[in-house]
Amino acid sequence: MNCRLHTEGNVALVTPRNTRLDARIADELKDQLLAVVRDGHARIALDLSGVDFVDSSGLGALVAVRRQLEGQGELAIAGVRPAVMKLFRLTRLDRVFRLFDSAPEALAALHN
Amino acid sequence: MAGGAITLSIDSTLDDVALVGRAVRAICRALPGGARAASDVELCVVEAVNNAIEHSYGGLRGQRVDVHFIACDGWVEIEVVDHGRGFGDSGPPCLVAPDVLDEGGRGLYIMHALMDEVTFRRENSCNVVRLTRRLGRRRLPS
Repeated sequence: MNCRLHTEGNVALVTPRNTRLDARIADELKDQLLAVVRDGHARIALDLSGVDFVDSSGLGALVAVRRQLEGQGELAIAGVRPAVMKLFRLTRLDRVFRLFDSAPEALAALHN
Repeated sequence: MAGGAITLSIDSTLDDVALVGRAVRAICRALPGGARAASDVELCVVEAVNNAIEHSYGGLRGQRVDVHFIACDGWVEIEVVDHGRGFGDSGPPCLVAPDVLDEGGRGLYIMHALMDEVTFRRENSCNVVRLTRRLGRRRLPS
C-alpha cells in the first residue's frame, strides 16, 4: 500500500496508488490514514478516483478511521467510481461518509 | 463462451485473491449477458475466498483454495472450496445486516445481496460456498 499525501493546514488529501482497496491492503490503509490523523490532520479527503475495486475489508478500514475521528474530525470520500458507489449504497455507507465528485470539491468542503 | 466450466486454484494468501477476482470477472464478461453481473460476481468471489483464507484457514499460508466456475443457460455458478475449519459446528452465522459502523461482518451480507443464491455446505472434509447468479436480466428478488 502506498498513498500520495498532500496537506493544506489541518486538511489532508490522501490518494491511494493501488487500484484495489481489498483485504490484502486494508490494515495498511487504515494504519496510513491513522498516521495522517496522528500527524495533526483531523480532516481527511480520500481520493478514490483511481480505485476500481473495494471489498468489505476495504470498507472496514474506512469505517475504522471514521470511528477513530468521531467528534474530532472527518474522513470524506472523493471520486467514487460507479461500481464502488454501488457498494457504498448497498452497505449504507453513503450515509456515513460525505461523498464528493472530486478531490478539489472535498478539500473545499473540509476547509469550510 | 456460451457455457462450460473452469477451475482456478490459489494458495491461501491474500496476495493471490485479486488474481482470482480479475479472472472471474473476465470470464463472466465473456458470457452472453455477463457484463452486467461481472463486477458483482467478482466481489462475491473475492469475499468468499477472503473468508476461506482468513477464517477457515485462520490466515495460514500453504493451503489450497479452489474456485470452480460453471456457466450454463444464462446462469453462473461458482463454488469456493477450502479444506479448513469452515464455520465450525455452529455453521455459517445468521444473516443479519451489520450495523453501519461495524468494522467487519459485511462479507456475507454483500454476497447474499448481490447473488441470487448463496449456500454453504461441508462435505468430504471440504467447505463449499456456492454462489449462483443469473445473467442478462435483473436478478431474482430474494
